[in-house]
Amino acid sequence: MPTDYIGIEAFYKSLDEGVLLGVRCRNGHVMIPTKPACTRCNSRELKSIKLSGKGKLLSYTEIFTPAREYEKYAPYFLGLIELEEGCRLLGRIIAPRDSIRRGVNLKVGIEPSQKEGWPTWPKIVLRL
Amino acid sequence: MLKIGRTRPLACIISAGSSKYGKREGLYAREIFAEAAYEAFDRCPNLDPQRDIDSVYVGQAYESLEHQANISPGFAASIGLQKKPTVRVESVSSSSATALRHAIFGILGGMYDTVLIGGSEKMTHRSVGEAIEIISMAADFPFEQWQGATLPGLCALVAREHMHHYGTTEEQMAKVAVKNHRNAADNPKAQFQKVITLEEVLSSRIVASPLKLYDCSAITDGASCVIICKPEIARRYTDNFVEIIGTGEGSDTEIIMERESMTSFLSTKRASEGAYSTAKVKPKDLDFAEVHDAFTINEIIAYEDLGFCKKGEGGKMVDQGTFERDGKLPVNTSGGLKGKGHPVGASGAAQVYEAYLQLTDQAGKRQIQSPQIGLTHAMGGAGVNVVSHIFRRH
Repeated sequence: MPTDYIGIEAFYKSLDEGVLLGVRCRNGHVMIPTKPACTRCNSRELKSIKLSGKGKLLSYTEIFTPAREYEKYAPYFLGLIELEEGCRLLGRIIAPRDSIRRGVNLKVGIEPSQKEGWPTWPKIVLRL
Repeated sequence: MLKIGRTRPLACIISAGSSKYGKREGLYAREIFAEAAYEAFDRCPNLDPQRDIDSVYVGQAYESLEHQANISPGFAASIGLQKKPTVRVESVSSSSATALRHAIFGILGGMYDTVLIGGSEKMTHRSVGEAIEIISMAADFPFEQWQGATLPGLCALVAREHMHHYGTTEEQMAKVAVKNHRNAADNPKAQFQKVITLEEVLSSRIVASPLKLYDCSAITDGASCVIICKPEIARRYTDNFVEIIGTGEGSDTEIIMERESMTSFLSTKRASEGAYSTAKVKPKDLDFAEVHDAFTINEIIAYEDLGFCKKGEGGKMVDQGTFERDGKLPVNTSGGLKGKGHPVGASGAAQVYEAYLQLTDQAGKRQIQSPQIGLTHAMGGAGVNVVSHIFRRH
């Protein structure tokens, strides 16, 4: 494993504490730590970095038919944002309907998760 | 007539079968599988399944649906082949297409002479919420499902990007649904037997905007299968067989936020490069194609990624009727996943079943005139893994 590897559990634990972690590989690619190698160049030399959590909305959808876990939110907007550092992240958008459009600035936040069972990861939310 | 493509086929399809698709009340996946297999057996009287079939490859996507792991021995036993080696292959919507590819390898490697490949999925006994949750297991759990993404939701993100970059419209997506339902109306095995109008599609309820109910394939019970053998022995069973001349498979990162492209599925490009190069054919040589249309946008992007038209022109081609049954390149004559139904693990084999029928002139009302070459394109997840095959009339 890379020495400075952040796993999925550590990513979410840090996010729960208010810090959005990413990794930068030796070739400068920045990604969310979804796996132990860079998805673009396969480099295993990954350094953890703190991401700004600020980005622009790339694409979005309003979901009316969710999985059971999300029934309580439906309908809700799901958005894909591109962070300032260049990587992308998916989350539920909490913003007035008329503000949701391509290019709008959004910030990554969280809704704390359950403390029992698995997983205890927070839910990512995107706010104005 | 001089044949197009590689000289020696990789394998030959000597028979095929399919169950009726739809809501199959009271039937278990393996029972529906048997319905498909028995049609294939009956179609090929010279085949003695117990004597001749060396192995059974089964595509099935979601073991949660029937709370059943290790499903393939039950499938094989349901058709009297309990003594044969059998394996389940899983890559969600491309499961049984992947099964076919690996069965071809078994034949090319000299291990098997004749193999039955099929897929079956029983879905309609689950509530819509349960089904959506299980189907969405095709999405990444930590970064997609956990964050509220569903499979329609992910394809909706792709649709909006395609609309933004290329001007693709909701009407063009709706026209794909209208075309495929029209074809399904001529397929007695299809789940949907009715022609639908553009207005019906556009006014149907939203599932994940901009995708509406009629942009999405349904929850379906069904099974399909084909029987393949090494080319040298095909004539032993029948004179009416189909040659498999190309196979390709391609993948991409499983998480959509990490993709290089949000408007192409590079897995399709990679798979089709493999299929075209093994077959030694080009897109212009095709007479028809069965492509993955779990969501209408996927079919439009498939036209582009498979080289049927230039990038971004898929929507325009729909307007021109290019892919209608009487168009330049008929796509999804079976009705596609949209009109025929989408029992996930069976859909890859269902496409091959249609290719077999078309290339042996057995497609009934939806038969196109003397096709020589056809392509299938099966996609697992939102562009995660794709398997493509190319077939030729014998």
